[in-house]
Amino acid sequence: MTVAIASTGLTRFGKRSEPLDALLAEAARKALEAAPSSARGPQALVVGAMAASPLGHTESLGPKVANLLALPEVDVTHVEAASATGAAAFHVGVQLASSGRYDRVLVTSGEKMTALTNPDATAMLARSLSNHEAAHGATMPSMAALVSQVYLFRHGLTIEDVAEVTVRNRANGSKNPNAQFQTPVTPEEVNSSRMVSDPLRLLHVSAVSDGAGAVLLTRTAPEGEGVRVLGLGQGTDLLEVASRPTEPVGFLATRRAARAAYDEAHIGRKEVQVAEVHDAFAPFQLIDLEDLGFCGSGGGLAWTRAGRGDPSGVLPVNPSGGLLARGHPVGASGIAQIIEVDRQLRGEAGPMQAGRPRVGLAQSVGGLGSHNFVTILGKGGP
Amino acid sequence: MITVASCPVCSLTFPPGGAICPRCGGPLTPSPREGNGRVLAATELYAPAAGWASLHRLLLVELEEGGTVLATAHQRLPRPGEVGVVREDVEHRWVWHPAGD
Repeated sequence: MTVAIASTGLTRFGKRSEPLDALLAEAARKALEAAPSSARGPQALVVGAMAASPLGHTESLGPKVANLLALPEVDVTHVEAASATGAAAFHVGVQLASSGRYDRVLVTSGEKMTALTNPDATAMLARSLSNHEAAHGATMPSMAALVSQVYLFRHGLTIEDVAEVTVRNRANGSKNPNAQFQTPVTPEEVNSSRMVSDPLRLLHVSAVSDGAGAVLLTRTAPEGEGVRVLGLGQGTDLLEVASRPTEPVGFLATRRAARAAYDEAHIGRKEVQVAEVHDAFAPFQLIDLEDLGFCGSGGGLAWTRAGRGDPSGVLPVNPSGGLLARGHPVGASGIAQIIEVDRQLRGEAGPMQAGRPRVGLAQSVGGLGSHNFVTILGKGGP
Repeated sequence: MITVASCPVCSLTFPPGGAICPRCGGPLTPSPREGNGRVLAATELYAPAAGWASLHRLLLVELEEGGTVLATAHQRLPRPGEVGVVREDVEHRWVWHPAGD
């Protein structure tokens, strides 16, 4: 038996008035309503949120969401993996289903971030860095800025070059009804937006946001129709960025996760036909492309400029607009990426549809590349 | 002068405080360093976390004696490639100073 995606649900991303448990339940309800009647009674519920208490002002999310869904007897688990929480929750759900203990597993993952001020949310997110980094006032954008600077310098690029990523993702996001930002931007707007942490400007950085996504998983025959999970991979690296044995021009954790996922799926990188990658910071998308093997080291920008990742390109990347357009409610992003890949494989991505892919990949970065996840999905049947 | 934690097995360098190497499990030992080094990357943070002043400066510094460390800079933002020295301040934070300072 293999694990299949029976249905999915996504909330609109952006500033939301509802509390975190209600957002998680909204996404889950959409997934349940979209499911075939045979799959509607989940036996297990996996809830993901990076920081339910400090960001969302709530705890005991599992039973709260189960109660909101009128699933009082479902087995509940809460998963956290920093900014890759949504992917991690999905992986746990797949493992529960594939264990044979549960036939139907509901995964819902999200975050409520806008209840805090930006400085407070920034401080909260910085807790996923090492204690030493946090004690020096490091934040996610500042550590990302240092990594980006090394990457750009080593490959002879400028930050102005990287505007290409934001411009393309925001153009894609203009077709995404759930995205926080649905308007395109120009390179000039990117390069003149206010500085966040040199060299990263506001439009290089994904936004604090609210939102959730949910997936209902079932077990199915390997040759069955629908969208199936072909491969999962997780990779870890040292938490302390400065202590890593190689220069920070890429993420070892992504390379490890990709290798594991490709191996489990029994495919190579050339068989991937659509990808959603973690563009929390615009230069990271170039790094992701290289770590996933889609192009060589330092080749991400040329690959992008050649249009290879465009919706009409050989391998559409972030046709949903990615985190830069969708917003980055940290617990939601990973599962939203998987849901967007699922919709591409089904041919149900609406104006975001990029060809007729049969194999898709989602990649999520946890923390500053300390625990990353790669998920490969495939479409079965004709 | 700063004191890093170094691993005699895999030669990696970490901030002080740990007992075992997170990479290989080797015993971390306190290792004094002169702190001389070259800036690998430097950023000014315009939107610091709550409790930190703007502008906040952060650097990655490659030490002459081996290893890369994270440090702050008080006076100005150095350029990548600039040489200087990392010292510990009264709050046990590592602070970069330009050469000759």
